[in-house]
Amino acid sequence: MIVFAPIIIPLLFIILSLSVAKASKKVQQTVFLSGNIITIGVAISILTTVLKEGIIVAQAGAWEAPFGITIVADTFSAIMLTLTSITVAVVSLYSLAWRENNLNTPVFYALIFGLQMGMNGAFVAGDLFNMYVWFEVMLLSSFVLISYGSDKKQLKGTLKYVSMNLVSSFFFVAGIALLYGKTGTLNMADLAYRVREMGPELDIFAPSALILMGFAIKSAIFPFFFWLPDSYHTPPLPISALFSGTLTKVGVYSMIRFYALIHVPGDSFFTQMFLFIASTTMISGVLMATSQFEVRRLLSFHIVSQIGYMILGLGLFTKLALTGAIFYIIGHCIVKTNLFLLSGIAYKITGTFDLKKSGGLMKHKPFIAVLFFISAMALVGIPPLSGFFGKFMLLKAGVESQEFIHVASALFVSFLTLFSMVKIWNESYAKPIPEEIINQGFKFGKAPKQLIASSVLLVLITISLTVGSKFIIDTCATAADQLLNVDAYINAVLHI
Amino acid sequence: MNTTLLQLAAKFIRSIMLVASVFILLRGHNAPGGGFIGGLLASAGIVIYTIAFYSLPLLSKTLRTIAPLRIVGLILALGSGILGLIFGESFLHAQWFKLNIPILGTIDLSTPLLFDIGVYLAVIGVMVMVILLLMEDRKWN
Repeated sequence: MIVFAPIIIPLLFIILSLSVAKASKKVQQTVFLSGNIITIGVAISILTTVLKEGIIVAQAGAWEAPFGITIVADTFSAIMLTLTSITVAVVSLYSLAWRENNLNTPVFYALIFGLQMGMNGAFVAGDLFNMYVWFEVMLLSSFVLISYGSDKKQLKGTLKYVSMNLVSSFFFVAGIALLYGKTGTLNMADLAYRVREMGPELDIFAPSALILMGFAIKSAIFPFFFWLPDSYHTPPLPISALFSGTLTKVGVYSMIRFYALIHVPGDSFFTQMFLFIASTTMISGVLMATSQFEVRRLLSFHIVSQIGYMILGLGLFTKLALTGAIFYIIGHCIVKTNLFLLSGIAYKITGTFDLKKSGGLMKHKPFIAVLFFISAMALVGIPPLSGFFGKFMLLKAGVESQEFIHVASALFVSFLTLFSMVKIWNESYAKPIPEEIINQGFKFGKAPKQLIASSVLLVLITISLTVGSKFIIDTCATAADQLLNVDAYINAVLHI
Repeated sequence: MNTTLLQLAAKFIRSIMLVASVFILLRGHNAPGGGFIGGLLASAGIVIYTIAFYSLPLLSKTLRTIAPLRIVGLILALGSGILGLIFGESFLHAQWFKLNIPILGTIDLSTPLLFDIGVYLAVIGVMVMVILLLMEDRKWN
């Protein structure tokens, strides 16, 4: 029953936060934060249950699979649930202290819970069409959130975001329709069973390609990434941080989940394609990032580049590679959110997102400089920080599978990532404020303590990923094992 | 739009559409219809009435009475799922109750009906709110 909780709790809190609309700000904020904390609690209890007892399955409405809607939580889903609920909670804490863009309203709280409900639903969906519906729930909330405040530049970004996501939803649902016509089922376990049962007789190449393309647009990989840097830097900063940390990961999650189900040994087309896409995504993202001077745009291009690493794990498709990819998703989600939050803090202090116009943060606020340094190094993958483990496992898996070109490009991209992190460091932290800005009467602003506290929380999580790396890598390995061992998944859902 | 013809018609149209919407809502279990379509019909009726008798006090009064419906609707829809969890085996598990009424005979009540009523109310709340707020914002009328 507990698998339903990640969906029911956010829905409950949507209702609660709308119904306390007339109450005082204190009550509203308490409801908001307690909702987030309860969701984390639920996610962690699911994770512990899954680790103890294996895959949890529940049937909505007590209709047996494959006829009803199945809700499944395996280790990978549970990891993603925990990860996103923690990220959402920290960003929520941050947004309460942001004090710009009119973020503290019941509608905003309800939208955040709506987003969370959609993501959680997509993580536990055991049925492709159900997953599509949860995607739509998530997208509807994100459409409103990304246009929240609606200034002109933002609406331009929103237009790109909305239209690209509608196109990707179209591919997704068209693929689902074709798949249903070919196999007669949309239950993921049943689908995997039939794919394995019928073997090469069943040709599901076209629907799979369509569905994977839908996911590819959503997770912003080459050549469909252009919408992401164009839209993610426009909304109010807490919303950008939330999106960049969590939303693209949902696309990657569904890609890994779906491909693991339909993967048949010896499938060289998709594997080669994923590897090719991984390298091109990594390289094109990072090359475009290096030329940016708007810090949010720069970080957005980095999201694209790092999605490439996750796809690399999918392309290699060995246990080690998937473990690395999942670990990389965890580390990246936390670190990338934190870099966005820190750029918001820097904005509060220097009053600009433009790297050329900012500076002097290391002298003025050394503590924030330390926070940035740790996060940036974790993103680059300097040992012993979190990015290192993910990259190391991916590279090792690449060497084992003898994909040397892709290993080389991953290493090359690491250097460029280091370069652009150093660029932010130099421009925003190390160099003094430019003369002409000082001449215009520049004064350092103040960042509320709560903003810094939420960033500290994320840095602590990054460090604890290193400290507890053995446990976390073991958990990721279990998740990878379950992804590769589809028979256990089929058995848990269908009892065959 | 203060034309007598529309005002005269709007009163009837609203009543007919509200009754028809309830009919469509109840019919939805086994035949085309249901909470969503019923809710759309009902909100169309309410909106046409507000257009015919447009005035700011009426607009804000309608908004005030309609807005809570979306919350009530969500509570009913979630509640029907929770009832399935409490009395049945699973979330959203349909529960049926027989109700004996002396003259009318037996009526089957169920949690799917409760869910549909929740959808109906939520759709009315959201649709009327969206249309009226747009009307107010665009100075339409």
